[in-house]
Amino acid sequence: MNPSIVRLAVIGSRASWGRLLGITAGVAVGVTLALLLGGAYQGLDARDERSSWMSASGGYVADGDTSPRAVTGDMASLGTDRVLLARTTDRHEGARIGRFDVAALTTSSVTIPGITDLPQSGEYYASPALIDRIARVPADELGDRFGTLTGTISDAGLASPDSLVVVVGATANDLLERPTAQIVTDFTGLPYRANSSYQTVAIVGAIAVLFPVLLLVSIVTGLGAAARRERFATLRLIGATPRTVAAIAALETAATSLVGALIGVLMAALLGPVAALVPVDDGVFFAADLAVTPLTAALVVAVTVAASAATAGWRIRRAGIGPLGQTKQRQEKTPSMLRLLPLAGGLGMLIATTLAVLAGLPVPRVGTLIIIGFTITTVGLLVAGPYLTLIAGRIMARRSGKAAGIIAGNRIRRTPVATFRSVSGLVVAVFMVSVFAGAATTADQSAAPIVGPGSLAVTTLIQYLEPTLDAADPVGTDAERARLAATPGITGVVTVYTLDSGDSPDVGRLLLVAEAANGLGLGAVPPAAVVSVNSDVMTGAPAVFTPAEATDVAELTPSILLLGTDGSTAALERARTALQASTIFTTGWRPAVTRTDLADDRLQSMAASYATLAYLGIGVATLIAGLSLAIATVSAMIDRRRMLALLRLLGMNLAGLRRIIILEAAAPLLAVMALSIGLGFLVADLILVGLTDSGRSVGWPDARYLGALTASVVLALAAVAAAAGRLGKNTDLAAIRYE
Amino acid sequence: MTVFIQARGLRKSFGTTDALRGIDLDIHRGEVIAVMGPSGSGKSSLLHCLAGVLVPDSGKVIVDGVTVSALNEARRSALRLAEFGFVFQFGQLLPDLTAVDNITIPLLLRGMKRRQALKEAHGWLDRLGLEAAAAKLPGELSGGEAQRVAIARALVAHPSVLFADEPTGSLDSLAAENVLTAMLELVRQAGTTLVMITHDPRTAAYADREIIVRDGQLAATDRVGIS
Ligand SMILES: Nc1ncnc2c1ncn2[C@@H]1O[C@H](COP(=O)(O)OP(=O)(O)OP(=O)(O)O)[C@@H](O)[C@H]1O
Ligand SMILES: [Mg+2]
Repeated sequence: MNPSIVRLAVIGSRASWGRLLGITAGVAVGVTLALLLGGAYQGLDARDERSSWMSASGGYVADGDTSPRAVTGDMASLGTDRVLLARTTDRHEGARIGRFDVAALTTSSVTIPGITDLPQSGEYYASPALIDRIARVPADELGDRFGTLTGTISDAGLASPDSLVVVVGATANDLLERPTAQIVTDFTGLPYRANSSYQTVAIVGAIAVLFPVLLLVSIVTGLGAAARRERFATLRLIGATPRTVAAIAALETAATSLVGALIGVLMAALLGPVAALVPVDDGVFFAADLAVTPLTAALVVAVTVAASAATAGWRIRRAGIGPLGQTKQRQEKTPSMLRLLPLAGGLGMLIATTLAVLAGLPVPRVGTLIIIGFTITTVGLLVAGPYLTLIAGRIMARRSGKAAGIIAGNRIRRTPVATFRSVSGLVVAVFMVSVFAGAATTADQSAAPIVGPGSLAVTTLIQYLEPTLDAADPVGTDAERARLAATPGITGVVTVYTLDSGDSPDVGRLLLVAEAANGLGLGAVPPAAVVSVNSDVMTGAPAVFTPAEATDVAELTPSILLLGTDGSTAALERARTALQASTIFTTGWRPAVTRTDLADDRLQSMAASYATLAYLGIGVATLIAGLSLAIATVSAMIDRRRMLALLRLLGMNLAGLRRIIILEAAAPLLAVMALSIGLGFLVADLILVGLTDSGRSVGWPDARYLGALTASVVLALAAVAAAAGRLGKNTDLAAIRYE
Repeated sequence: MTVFIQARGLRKSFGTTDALRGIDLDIHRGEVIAVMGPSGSGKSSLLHCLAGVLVPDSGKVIVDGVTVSALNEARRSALRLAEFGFVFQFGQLLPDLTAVDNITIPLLLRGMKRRQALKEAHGWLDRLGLEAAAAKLPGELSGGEAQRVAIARALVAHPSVLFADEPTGSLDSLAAENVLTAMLELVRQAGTTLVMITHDPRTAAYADREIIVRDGQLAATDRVGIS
């Protein structure tokens, strides 16, 4: 190919330099995001791998086991290949601490990633973030729970620099008391990500974020297409073959996107450490987690360059540029109703799966079916978009009485594919946000603890006791309780009893000494020695006291210990610490909790724990989609500036022109967005019902959803308005020649 | 006859090129004027200044007593909408709109109801023998048809002045003849002022008056007061 032809074709004018710059910048942004996304995926994998030891499990200690390898209170019975583990979730100032109590011989061959030796009774290893926390607050609020610090858990055993993890040494005797103790031979667990629900979320997220990135790249590589077609027509006129012209287009785009992609790699490398600071699922990332491997980078660069060059060449060939250029406008093929088929197919698949699950039919691989159905639905939405856009355009063109509406409507119906492309990113983002928000309504339901008169204070610690275990004294000695009551900030210690069997009306209710009940301040207590109260008081229901049939609590089973606090954080943490340092803790299933903690536990469903990630992904997707819309609008405006200036010449004012530009973006946006919101909730409902095999259904979305939706609409309008704001300059009559 | 458009001392340069170098011109109501001159002499620039599309560097244009060059862009827009129509060589129809929709635009911009505007537009198509082309897109029209549609659009709102820049420049002689006669007939009927640039002396012969632009100035015979 003659290099001077290439020069003529590529470096035409300042406008074409702007175009090349736009493509480079767009590709750079796209590649940066794609790499960061890939990095995040890989980073989540890595952190999951490192923390998988935390889900290690083994057999429970069998009562009355008489085999030679039975685990007893004697440490030696563990041998060097086994340890006893009791796993609990502790809390401090609202943060969750993973606590691993381990009984192991000093000679044990069992290892935990991140620490060299297993701690002995009285010692503990903690993660750096936890060590900082312990140093920050008085020992009686946190440090005293664990013993003596003997070492730090290194990064190799931690998901995130923020992870709060502690491995506490114990004796076999201590742990045998615990109902949750397990015999563990190996600290390797199944990574969380193997979980198919997680995979569902990951795939959905990847589609949601990658799509707008690809769209952005596709839109910027099409920048200035009109001007370029003219230049190529000139080349054809002076004798270049269609092949030459296509090759020039491909070459030009390849070179530009190579530069863009390389800049993208550089930006991803620079931004990685910043992106690592975004907390996902309880913690920020180690910078290394997000680092892009050279192989990935090379792959992304190669794919970007090859794909954009191929599309550019193909577009030019398809445009069929003759020596006379584009005197006759190339007509888009009118989208047919057949475009609704994939959407209908995807929805049909989801509905069929859900109905089959509801009908109790044995459906194999429900998760996979749902992912496929969901993917087809999403793609279907994109395929159907142009058809729906066409319909919206037709209606507008027919119904509108204003010049702007007629012009915009006709433009839309003549170019539905291009019109829809510019808004498709936002449409997909809104669809995703709706599906997600719909699904999340289930997770969020009744998340906040109930507060009100008659409800147990959220500052009261609830320590469940283990009544079936024959500990010497599960409530602790009077001295123990006196010590708790004397802790500064603790306002009362109340034992709650239950009656396990019999046909007394007391069964199933909580029983307590009337005087103690009065101390809780939950309302009127009838005059009786022992009173009973509804058991859902622990989850926030208003208390209703009645006289109990039992008259002496000594005949009842102590089940719960309530520790009232003065409500200050320090008092609450001191109370937790005091409880854990006492013998009472060792007989419980888990450390004491408040009702706030319980609500927080309920929120730890998968959907909720990945909420940040999902909202982040959708936020990024919306931003890029908004950017794409702005670029597409500006570029369409520049391509049509002659036409728009002509309207000004005919006497249309700038406001009218602006209305055209806004209508051209708003009409398809609103039409297809309304559909994606409706579909989003329907799909969320189908996915939930299908996956959970239950009557769970979506509720009313929360403020975050409305916020996200408003944000995307505002962003879209801002993008279009920003573009429309440049109309005056771009349609300056003096700058355009009319001949 | 009253002077409708008055140009005084019009100067306009583009960078180092002086397109107009002091033009004085009076145009009367209902007059048909042919503007001739070599390529690059400043004919189009003159037309654009008269129509308020270009703002002259110095000098002024007064239309019906209003100094156009003193108006802001919005007011000039309004003036164009109320008083002027334009026809160019080619490519002036909105490509996404059918012929009939294209014609309705000036009417709609003036606030006419769409139904009424469509009725008027069909009437114009009828008069120009284009009824069959009503539902066609500009890309589907022949060059002559497209020019006639453009003329219909320029005249549909009954402007006082029609500015035409080589309206038949892209047509063969037969089509040019057709378009030209149609345009002149309509203009004469309505008493519209026509300022038309042309290279063709035969076309110019239809005009009441010919003016010749050379190097951004009017040829001697065309100076104000002399004619
Ligand atoms: N926007 C512009 N920028 C730079 N130069 C311009 C511009 N418009 C006109 N010119 C220059 O001003 C001079 C007069 O141009 P104009 O278009 O008025 O000529 P014309 O008489 O209409 O020519 P033609 O018969 O070829 O259409 C020319 O030299 C032209 O190059
Ligand atoms: Mg000219």
